Amino acid sequence: MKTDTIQKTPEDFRQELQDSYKIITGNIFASDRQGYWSNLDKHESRHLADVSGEMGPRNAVRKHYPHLFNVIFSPKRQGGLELLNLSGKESCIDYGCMWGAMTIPLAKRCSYVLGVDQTLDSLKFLDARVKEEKLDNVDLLCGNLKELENFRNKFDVAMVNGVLEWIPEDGDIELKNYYGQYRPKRYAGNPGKQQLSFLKTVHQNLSAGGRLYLAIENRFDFKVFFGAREPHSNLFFVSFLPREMADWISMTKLGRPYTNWLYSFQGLKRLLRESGFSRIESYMCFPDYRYPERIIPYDGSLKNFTPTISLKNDKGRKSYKRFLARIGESLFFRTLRLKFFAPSIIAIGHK
Amino acid sequence: MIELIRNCSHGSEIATYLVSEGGLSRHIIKVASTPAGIKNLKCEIKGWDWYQKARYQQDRDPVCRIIRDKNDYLKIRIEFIDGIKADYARGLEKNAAIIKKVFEHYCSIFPYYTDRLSPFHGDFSVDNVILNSGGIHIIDWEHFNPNGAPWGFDALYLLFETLYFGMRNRKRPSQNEINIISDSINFLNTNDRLDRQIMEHPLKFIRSFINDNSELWCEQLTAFPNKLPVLAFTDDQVALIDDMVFSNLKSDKA
Repeated sequence: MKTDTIQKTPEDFRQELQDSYKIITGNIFASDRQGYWSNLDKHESRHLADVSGEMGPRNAVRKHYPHLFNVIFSPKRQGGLELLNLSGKESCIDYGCMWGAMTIPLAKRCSYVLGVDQTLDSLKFLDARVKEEKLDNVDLLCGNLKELENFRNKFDVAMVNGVLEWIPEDGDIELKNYYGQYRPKRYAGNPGKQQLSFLKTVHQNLSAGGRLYLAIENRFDFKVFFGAREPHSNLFFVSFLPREMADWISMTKLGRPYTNWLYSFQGLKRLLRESGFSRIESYMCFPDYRYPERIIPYDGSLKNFTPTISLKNDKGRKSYKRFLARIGESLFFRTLRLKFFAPSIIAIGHK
Repeated sequence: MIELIRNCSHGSEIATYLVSEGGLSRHIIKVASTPAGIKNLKCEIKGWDWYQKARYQQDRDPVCRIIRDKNDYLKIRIEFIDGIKADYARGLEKNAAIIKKVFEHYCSIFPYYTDRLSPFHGDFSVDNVILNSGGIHIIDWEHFNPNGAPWGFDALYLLFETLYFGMRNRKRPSQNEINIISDSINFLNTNDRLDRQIMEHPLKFIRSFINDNSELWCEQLTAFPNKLPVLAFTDDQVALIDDMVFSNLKSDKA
């Protein structure tokens, strides 16, 4: 049952945003807590925002940042959204929306979407996408994801897609100058507690009966046991080792503790329960949650599983590592049906 | 319970889900939110509609229907057809029995017109055929066109695609494979429906038709050139296969 019996329109949401935040331009609002997190450095982000306004986002990315085209526009990325079985009447909030890989598909399926991100230039790019797609049900808010407490009971759906593991990070992050590089840093709090606190806010911001869509890599992804690097720190083994040991490795190699905490299926369920979610559906994602080929309920069967790892890399070349990974995938999931080691998790949490 | 079973594979922009509603009740959901994907799903709806009418010759509950069509987002539901599927990787010889049934089904369903092209499936593979107690069922109508290709195109395509997978590690087909192809072509040509050009150079004809009419597959052939495996035969293989088939057809006739 919903607390708000009257369906809110995009205009209602817009009005509330205007009352609480300053308008940057059109439908972009901002709190006084901006930051920076992007795959691009600040100069490139500004450039992308500028050229996308001039030549349209698709053309801009195709011409200037072709390596990001699939990251931003691939229709494959929205493969998990149907798990929510949306009716079209939902209002949604997309935490850490960046360039809108999920915001735009959500907006096509729902009545309203608020995309939140700390990087203003990413939102300017996304705004250009919204205009290109002729969508009038999207607003964007630039602010700190950990401090969004103005939206209690407001949204029917919350999207946390590849974001939870970055919540413990602080300060500006230019990923290309940070990922796997020695950048000494100290953090204020415990990563797990920060993730829990964030999820509690997400839970509070959902209306009664609201749902959370959370996608994250599995802490026990089978590949990390066979020499694949942890995808956020570029270190070996840190995801599944005890947290103290992972900290020690990360301090030695990167000069900072390991904060991108991942979870197992059971661990994530526990965390979501602790955050207040009453019912949680877990799904296994292959080969990962960003470009899913197969999404299978954790309670479902792997009987008809076929390998999903492509033999070719991003440049279209076959690699022996991928060949071995594909064999491993077939062995783990088709033959042995070891669900616990699935590469990624999507969890749908019900308030 | 919902399961993603296919996501934008082979250059398509459609995601396919299997939905189980307890017990044996299942259906398929297909979703698209890009212009190319939506175009393909609309073809799928038309294809199922045409196929059902051609197959049953009477009004029945639609197998395929639209659930949502809004804001550049199209979601359709297709009833689940239970049965067995052939494995194209097993090649022509091991699939010969099912191919015979598929050809009989093709001849009974696909109309032949003297003044226009015939209905076109566009991805007619043994992988898109289900066999159950009700007979053969053709699925995946994403490239359907009511007047898309000369009669026999889809059936011949299926034949050569299966041959391709069967002879992956060989340069030339076996005589047995050629016999299956020529028997199948003879069956298709029972009422002299195939052009002389097709009889003489069946594989060359298939490839030329695809190359000359690539718009029938939208942008998929550009995005994923391997979508239609018959295009991967070398020119030498095409000439060899066509020669072997034609000699067989001639000797059959003699």
